[in-house]
Amino acid sequence: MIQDSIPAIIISAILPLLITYFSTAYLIKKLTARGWVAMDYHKPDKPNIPRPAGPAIILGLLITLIILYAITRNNGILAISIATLSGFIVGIIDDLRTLSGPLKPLLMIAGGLPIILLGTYSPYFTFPLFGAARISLIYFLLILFAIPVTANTVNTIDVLNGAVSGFVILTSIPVIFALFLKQQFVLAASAIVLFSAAIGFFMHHKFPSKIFPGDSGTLAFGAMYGAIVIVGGVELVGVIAILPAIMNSFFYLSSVRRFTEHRKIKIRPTVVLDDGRLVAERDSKAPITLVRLIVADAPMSEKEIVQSIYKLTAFSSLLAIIVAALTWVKL
Amino acid sequence: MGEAMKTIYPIMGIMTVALVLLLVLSYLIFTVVVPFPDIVPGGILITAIVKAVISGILVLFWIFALWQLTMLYMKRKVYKTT
Repeated sequence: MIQDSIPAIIISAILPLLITYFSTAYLIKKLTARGWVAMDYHKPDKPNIPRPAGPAIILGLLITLIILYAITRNNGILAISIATLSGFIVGIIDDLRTLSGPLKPLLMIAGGLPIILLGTYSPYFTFPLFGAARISLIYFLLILFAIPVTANTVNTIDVLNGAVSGFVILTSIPVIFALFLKQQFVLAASAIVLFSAAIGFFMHHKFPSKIFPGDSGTLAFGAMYGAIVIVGGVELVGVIAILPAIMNSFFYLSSVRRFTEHRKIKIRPTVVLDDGRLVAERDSKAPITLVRLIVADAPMSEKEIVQSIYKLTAFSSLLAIIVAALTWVKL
Repeated sequence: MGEAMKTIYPIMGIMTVALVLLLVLSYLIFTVVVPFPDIVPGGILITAIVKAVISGILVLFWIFALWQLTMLYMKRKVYKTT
């Protein structure tokens, strides 16, 4: 019953936002004082921006998830918490001492283990119009790959100021909607935690960014997203919502033809003009990315590109909401 | 129409095709391929391999279709000046 979950939903909506917002503000001062900064290449004056914000993000997410687990005793929340923490740990290692391209997704496989070990999944894949299909063995493998795939997919959209935080806010909306339709209110509350923490972080990360999330922030967001859609059984909705990021990873991997760190790419997908605007690299050897597609016609400012990413994500989230309605609304 | 929207609409088109193909191919896999009866009596393994191969081909077709659409977009918009 939704009445039983109202306290959990209220806590999930407010607490992560406040914790993430204030702990990120604290972290901005601390990281700047310690000189933990990275250059913002897309600004004319190339300022140094503190990073990583992952510790502030994980604080907002985990404290609320622990409270949620204490209230509900739902093993799904426990599995989501461990998966999120594993994303953060791999990310913070990468932030401190860069991990190789293939090693990061391999380490992230551990994030799927708690979902399997706690048995918090259902091997039924639900489709709109033609119902559910049981895929026991393949689903088992799918869980192991789901967390690395979603975590790295979300990580790849962290290209410009505010892109990844806005992306997580928009993509968590259809997941919350689908979980409410399925009447899985506790898991919907966990998706609200993600939504709320992303808003708290977005306030500092939006253009012009005062802090960058680092891999610890993006992988924690992505791992949590993947864990929620698996435990909640809203896989298709989750996949459709993040289509812009999936396409971005797919274009990139297809054109580069290997797992590699973006730092090692010789020809950049875009060129930064003197006025800070970005234009598509015309060299056919340059990797294909979503940003390169967006600036294909004419140079655009960072703010315009990020707005385009939001529009594309809003569109994919709308498609995901339609699919959720077609799947779970009984007429 | 704004400059930004001119590039967004074709990308939205690619996303819509990706979604429609995803649903159609999933439908084919789970309602046609998966319930397919054994090809030879007692040949569970052979049938499973055939099902996996057909499903794999359909997934590859999805990837191929997306790649072709993207390359078409790249040729028209990005590579046209090289």
